[in-house]
Amino acid sequence: MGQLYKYMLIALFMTSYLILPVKLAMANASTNSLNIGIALEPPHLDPTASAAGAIDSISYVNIYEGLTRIDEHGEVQPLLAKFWNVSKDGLTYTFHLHENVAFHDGSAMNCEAVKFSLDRARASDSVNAQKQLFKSIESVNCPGPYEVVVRLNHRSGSLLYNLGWGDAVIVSPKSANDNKSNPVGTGPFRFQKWQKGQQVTIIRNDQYWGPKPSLDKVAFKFISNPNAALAAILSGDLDAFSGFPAPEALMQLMTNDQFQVDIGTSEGETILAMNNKKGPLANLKVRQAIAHAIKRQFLIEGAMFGFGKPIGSHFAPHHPAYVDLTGLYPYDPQKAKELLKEAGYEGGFDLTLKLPPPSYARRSGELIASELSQVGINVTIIPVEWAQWLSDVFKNKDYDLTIVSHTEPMDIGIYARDDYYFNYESDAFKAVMEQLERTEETSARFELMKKAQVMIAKDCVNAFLFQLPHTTVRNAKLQGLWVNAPIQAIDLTTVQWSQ
Amino acid sequence: MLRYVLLRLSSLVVTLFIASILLFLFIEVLPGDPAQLMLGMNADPQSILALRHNLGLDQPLFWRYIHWITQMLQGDFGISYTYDVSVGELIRERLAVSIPLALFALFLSIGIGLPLGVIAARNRGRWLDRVLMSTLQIGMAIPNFWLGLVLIFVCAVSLGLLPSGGFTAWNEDFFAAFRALILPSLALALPQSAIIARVMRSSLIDKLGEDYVRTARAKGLSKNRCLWHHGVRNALIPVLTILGLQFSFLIAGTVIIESVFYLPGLGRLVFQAISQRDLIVVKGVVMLLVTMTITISFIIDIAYALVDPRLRSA
Repeated sequence: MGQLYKYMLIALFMTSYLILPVKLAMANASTNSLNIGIALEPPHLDPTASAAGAIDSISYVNIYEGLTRIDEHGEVQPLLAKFWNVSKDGLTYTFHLHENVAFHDGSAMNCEAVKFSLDRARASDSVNAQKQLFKSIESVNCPGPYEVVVRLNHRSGSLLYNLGWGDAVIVSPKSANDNKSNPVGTGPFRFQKWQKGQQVTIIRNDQYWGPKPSLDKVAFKFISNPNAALAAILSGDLDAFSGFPAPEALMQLMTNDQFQVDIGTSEGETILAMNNKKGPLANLKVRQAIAHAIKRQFLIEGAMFGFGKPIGSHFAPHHPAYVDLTGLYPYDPQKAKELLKEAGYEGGFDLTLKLPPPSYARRSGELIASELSQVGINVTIIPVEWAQWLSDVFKNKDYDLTIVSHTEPMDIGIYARDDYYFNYESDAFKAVMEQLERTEETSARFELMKKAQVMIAKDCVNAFLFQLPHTTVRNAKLQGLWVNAPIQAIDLTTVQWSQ
Repeated sequence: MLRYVLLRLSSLVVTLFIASILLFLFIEVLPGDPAQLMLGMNADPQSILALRHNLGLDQPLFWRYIHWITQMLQGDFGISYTYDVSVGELIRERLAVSIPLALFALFLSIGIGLPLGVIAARNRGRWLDRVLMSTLQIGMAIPNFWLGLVLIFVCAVSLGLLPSGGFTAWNEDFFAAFRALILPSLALALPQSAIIARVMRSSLIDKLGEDYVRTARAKGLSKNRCLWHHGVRNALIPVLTILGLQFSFLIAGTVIIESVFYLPGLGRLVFQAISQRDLIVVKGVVMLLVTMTITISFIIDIAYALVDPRLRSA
């Protein structure tokens, strides 16, 4: 026995010896580095070949840059293109590029690279997840090394915005095929290392053509477990977390002076989508009854721990063209019952509700099912995985109701798509979208966007629930991270530590 | 003996072959198209077709199986759909975390469980035994992920002694890598050690009641010498059987523990691969685990035969 205790004691000493150096190491850490948490690991690092938002979180404007960019307020700013001219008929855009810009692989960023990037995204064998962004482009030509002429097949008011997406970044012809594992762009940070399952590290690009960032090294760490995320923040292993996965812990963090919690809005319109051609849901009155039966504040309190903005249409509240339509179908179960009676469903009916994995969907689903049962609609909940949701609900339209957050920026246009999973068909709405596409002038575009929001709200295509919050938890000394997320990005160019 | 080994070996090959077919079919019937999942809700149907072609998903099922199995036989696990790197490489990286984690947990559970079992057996019926046994009862009931969280909050958040999670590669910083595995292996090991302690205790009490122990005591051997020389050694046999069974529990446990401590291990890889429909990774990892399990039972069969000659003629 004595022997055993001795071994145990030795083991204990050895452990404490291993443990001790940690605090010293932390004190030595460079103050210009940043450890930031994100919930999901990207599949790879090529934003032009996947819809995964985590790719843009890491790479957008940090590693890769486009001709234009979308800023914190959702507005278009010039980036690789210094400025541009638009022909009178709106069909020719001439972009003037910054000179002396180099890719991280050393090759020069010029018109040839731009033409290569845009043609690659538009090609028939392209695997770009947002190929429709480039639909209006007829041809791309290079009259000079730093002059790009883009010809359109029709006027496109959204072209400059579209070119600011992560899916439209400019890549180097030399290294484009390796971007998945070794991303090469023109941005202020260059890729250093990816430890799969753990973290991606980027470092400052000292040859950057524009103003250099303050941070010299950033590690994006992937933590999806809510408790692990909280522990990593509390222990100081992380300096910030973008899209914090533990909303239940936010109150605790808010009362702690060491941390700052920013609750902004994302581009995620969370909706109760309805199959507009299936059974009772084909009837406008039934859809309106469902909208009247749902109390948004109840969902936000019950499913989102109080974080989230109610919405009345498919449009982000932080956008200047936003119209508040939350009052159109106020919570009124009595009215809902009357509408169902008028529609001939006095005795109620059965519906299924397919719920994808995120907690916003699963939790809201439970609450909505109970709310709908109050007005006589019997809802059966079917939980599904993402892959199954995409094939059953999204592709085959085999569903009655589902809850999902549409996170693509400025995506009201999906209501004009043929054969989309809502099964909504409105020629009037399509006409508005067509007109919007052909309008370049900002205030006229805003008017059309407002009109579109009202139309789908009146047609009650879906029940519009709330805008998904974008929650950032950060060390109180860290400044410059976006509060809102008008596109999925963690722009690090102006992030810095205060003294 | 040689005939016996050959017989077992051929049954091993047949089992692996059947397992590979079942695995392939099960994964193929999973709903959800990997290409659609990768390109998301806004994807152009043409882009999805192009990606399906790139991934080889437009080939007939039979050819895909033949292709996969011939590749596997050559030691090539294929290319991951999502990561776009070799699956073999991915698995190798992850094993560098999962195998040390499982081994540490195994050693810890033995190191804690065995002595506790011996102490309890030696003091059987006294207050120390009762306290130990009721503590172990609680230990067995604690889920390892919860224990993991408690350890994180005590050791990482409150005391700041150890990192709250994550992993540094072995070749980068050996001690950091070791320190990263301390809490997760403890969380895995403590509930397991409770089981080992209980098995050790009851097995030892059994053995101490045997005739040969009584004879040894009668011969004048001291109580302690009796315990160590005649009791513990013989009591270990049932514990070893339990240890063999526990290895698969440890592998299953790492899936959860790796997510609590955000460790880049095999469990998290397969979990992520299933949700992203990275079918080739799922197939590769599961096939590896199947092969490991079948091989271990093959080795145990052979070992039993070595110990017990009666089995060789079977």
